[in-house]
Amino acid sequence: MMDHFLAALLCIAIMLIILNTGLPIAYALGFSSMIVGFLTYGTVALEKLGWTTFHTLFIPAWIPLPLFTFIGCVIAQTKIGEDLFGAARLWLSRIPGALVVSSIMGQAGMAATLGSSAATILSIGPVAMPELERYHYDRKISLGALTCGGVLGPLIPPSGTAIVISGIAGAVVPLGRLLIAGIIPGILLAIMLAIVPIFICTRNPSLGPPAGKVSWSDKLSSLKRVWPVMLTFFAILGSIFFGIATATEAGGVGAFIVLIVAVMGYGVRVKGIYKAMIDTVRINAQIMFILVGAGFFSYIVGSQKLAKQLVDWVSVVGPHPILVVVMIQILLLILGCFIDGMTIMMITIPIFMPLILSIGLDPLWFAILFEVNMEIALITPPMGINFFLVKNVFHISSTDLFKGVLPYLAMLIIFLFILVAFPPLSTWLPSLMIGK
Amino acid sequence: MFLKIAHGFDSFVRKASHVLIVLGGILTVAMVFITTYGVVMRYFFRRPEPISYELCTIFMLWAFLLAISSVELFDQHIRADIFIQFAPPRLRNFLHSIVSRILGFVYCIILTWKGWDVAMYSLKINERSFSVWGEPLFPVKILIPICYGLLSLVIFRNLCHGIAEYRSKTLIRDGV
Repeated sequence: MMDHFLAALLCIAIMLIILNTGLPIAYALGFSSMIVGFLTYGTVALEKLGWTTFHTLFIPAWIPLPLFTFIGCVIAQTKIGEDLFGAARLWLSRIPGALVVSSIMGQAGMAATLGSSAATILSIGPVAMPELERYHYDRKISLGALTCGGVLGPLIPPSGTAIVISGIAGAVVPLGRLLIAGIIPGILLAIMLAIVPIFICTRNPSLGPPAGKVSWSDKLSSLKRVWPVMLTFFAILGSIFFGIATATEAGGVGAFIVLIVAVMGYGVRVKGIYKAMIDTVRINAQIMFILVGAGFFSYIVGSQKLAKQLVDWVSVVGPHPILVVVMIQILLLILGCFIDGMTIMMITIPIFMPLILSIGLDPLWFAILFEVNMEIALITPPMGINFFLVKNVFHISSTDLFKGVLPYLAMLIIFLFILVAFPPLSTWLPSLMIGK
Repeated sequence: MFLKIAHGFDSFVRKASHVLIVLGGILTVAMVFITTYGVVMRYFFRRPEPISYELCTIFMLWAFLLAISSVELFDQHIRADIFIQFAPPRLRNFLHSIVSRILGFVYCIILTWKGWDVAMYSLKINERSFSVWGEPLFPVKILIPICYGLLSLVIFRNLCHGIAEYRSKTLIRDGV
């Protein structure tokens, strides 16, 4: 039998090796913990593996995941993304880097209906890129914005990442409050990201010229096309905020409304709904299979034991709470470069959340920081899934894309530390909620 | 004879995976309507009902289980293939088509085997949910080994395809 600490290290090492040989993340997590668990605890570990699927997934906290995914998949069957980008383009046409700013704002709009960054990128990217190329915008700046704008997807509710964080953290981070907490940071981030192209294109207008003059009647008529987004956003968040529905119920009602809007407003028919249905269940299965593997991995690594040791250690050393948070953020930024977000969340939330509670900080605020950090992980190579998504879809070299991403990434890190410095940005709005 | 059996097996796992993912999709759409029904009953008719949450949790678990073999069949797992894309194609192919599937197969066989034990234990003690509805949990749990069993078959099918493909590429490379 192996020492528990050694077993945890071995488990992490085997998982990282399998993960980086390109094997599915779910198998890397499950197989490594199964082998190390068997060597350490014997057949008891295999018995536990048998229980893991039920114990990890038979939890109502995960119900919003398929519901919000369904909303995203139905919206993908409509032209809402095109309409949003079109409206943003008309309203922002006079500013430097207008089309890049429009794509960021379009992503912010889509983020109000989608819960994933990849979906946010794919809903606006294919619509915006032809326009950006037509006006000879610099590809690096344009695609850098598109890559980093994806972060808005999970930050502005609804949010798949928030569901996972809340699901792992449990009662200390209620999903409804976490979703509401993402609104102000999401809006702030959209503005901060938009400042980057405006600044760059003001200094060098040839990189992104203004798109030309647009009449007020065109601007106002474009607003008619964005009502489905407003309706979905208010149906989901309004019902949570005013205590009419729980986050789960809001997901169901939001999906129902989106379904009606897609059928009545955008002419989506059985074929489109069937595709949305299959895509939803497939995306969900991909995520949940990772959750099963990560649940067992977390058990074998002994996250709860590590959490207790960490809390004891911090109480002895007694560092300043903000220093603890900053250290955690830096650690997460580094981990995010090498391990995918889902795995990081499953392993580290059970370790860090008790620590945050023990030093008297707001778990909701920490959850928002965690969310932003996990989204930054999606754009930082070598494990930046969104980075490679944009690279592959829009055929740009890694070097060029990295150059394009860099100024936005710097802004994202500044944004993360603004959230660290000003907790009310995340905690003020949830404190006003009627439905607690 | 062997080819006929192999073809039949291939056709079975394909069809079964397709039917199951469609069922999973239907359950997901049903969740939308059940949740909306729960909200309407509670807020418009003042008649809260106890089963919508529980039913959605069951459907969510089932939808995942029903879809997982299709995810494997079409090789749609989430993976981190950043480093491996710089490896020689032969090594990449070997890891992807053979090693990945052997590890996956062993993992899923254990999930099936132990999942079966868990479901049988649930039947033996007539396990019920602690919710107001108090539904029996055996029907919920029995789908776990069944769907992981199908997943194991799909991985086995993909492993056979992977070995055949790897061998044919090696033979072409060696000029046989």
